[in-house]
Amino acid sequence: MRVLLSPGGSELTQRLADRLTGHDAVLDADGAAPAGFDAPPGFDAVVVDGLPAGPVDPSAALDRATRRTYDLLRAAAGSGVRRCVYLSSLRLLADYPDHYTVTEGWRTLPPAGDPALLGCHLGELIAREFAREGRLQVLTLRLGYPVVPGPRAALGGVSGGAAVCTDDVAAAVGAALTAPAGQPCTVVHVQSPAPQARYLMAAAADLLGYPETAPEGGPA
Amino acid sequence: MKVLIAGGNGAMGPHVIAALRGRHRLRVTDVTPAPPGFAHEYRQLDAGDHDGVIAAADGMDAIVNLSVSRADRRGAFDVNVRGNYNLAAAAVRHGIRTIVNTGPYHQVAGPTYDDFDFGLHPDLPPQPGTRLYPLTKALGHEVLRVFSDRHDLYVQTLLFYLMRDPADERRLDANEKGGVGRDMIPPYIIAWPDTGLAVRAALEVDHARLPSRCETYFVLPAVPHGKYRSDKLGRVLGWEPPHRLEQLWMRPIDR
Repeated sequence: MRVLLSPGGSELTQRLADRLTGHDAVLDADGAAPAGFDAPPGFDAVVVDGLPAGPVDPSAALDRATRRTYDLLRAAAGSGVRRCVYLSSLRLLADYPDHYTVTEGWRTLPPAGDPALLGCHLGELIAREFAREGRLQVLTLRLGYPVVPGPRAALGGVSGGAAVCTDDVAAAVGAALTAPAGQPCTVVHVQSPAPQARYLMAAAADLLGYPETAPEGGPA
Repeated sequence: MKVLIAGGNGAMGPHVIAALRGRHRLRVTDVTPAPPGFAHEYRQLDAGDHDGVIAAADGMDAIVNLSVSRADRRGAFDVNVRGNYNLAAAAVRHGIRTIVNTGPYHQVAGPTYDDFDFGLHPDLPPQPGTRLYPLTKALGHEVLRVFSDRHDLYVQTLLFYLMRDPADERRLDANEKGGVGRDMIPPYIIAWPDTGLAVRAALEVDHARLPSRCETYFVLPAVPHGKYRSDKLGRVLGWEPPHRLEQLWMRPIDR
């Protein structure tokens, strides 16, 4: 499958480009929206990194998350791309009290004071509308936090929390590119497996077969 | 109250200003220069200008947002999304508790509702679709909803579509080429002066009457086709459009 990873300048998409084995992964060259609505030709899927990208001013953060995502998805849909994997954040659910087991069906709680994370939420909504109209099949992967570069060993074996390593992100994204999603838009929670993991990952297990190996005594 | 009107030099602005004149002190902003002889405080300002919007809201008690960009790809996001963020941030910064926002009804009831259903109401989960204008307005509304959820801020969004001068004789040939029927069937329509009255009703409503800190209204008179429900206007705001459908959308009949 030929996959466009956007924006090409993000650390996460660059790691995905290296780790998405079995796919022809191409980084969005300029990391910016296509000019006008020009369609990127020849791609089967697009992976959009909608995660907050460091400290930037509110206007830039919202523009990156909204206009850029819209332009990209419109161009992708127009060029025949069928699948979009939108990378969002489980931080959008972090304000629920710890004792709840938060599933993929819970409403997100975006913050007003963090425009980058608010933009991540708005990007989810944009992708959802493309799915609702049948223009793209969307899998929204809400990634754990923090996103730690490397393999699971880099996480230090801590229990609880919601961290995810980039190797696990790559595994989940790789599966999401070809998973037989039955719905126009599916939300999937992805954190690295750990005892007392913060978020339920039933959709990841059912749809993506993720994680491949559960830790002993931990959730599947 | 001291009221900031953002985007006040567009088509709706004069009707809102007329409805608020003499009742509130107005500060009007717009991306265009002030009209000649404009009688209120005026600042030429782009809604996407974060610092400019923050400064313009200083000293105000309420904000009315009439700003809109419909077709321009960058402008739609700058004005409809970031503009709303800027206004909400300005409200929080200056302790302003009231925002009256405006938009098209299809930012809630997009084609996935509108092409199929009846009894559509403003409290539906928004399905704006992917068209630039309703989608960006829906995103802007979501920004305001988030701010109202996190702060002591009351956001009311008034949703319009077609506006007519009630004295316009074209209302008599709705089925003719060039008549009002060219726009949309069934009509979601309101008289221009009533848009200003709707903004005034939302601006002046007691917050204690509001079911929540984020409320949305379909603003049109009662319609016989039952596609859109506007009864919330009376139920929550205690207001209904003075001009009825019969004054805006009729065909001639020989009796």
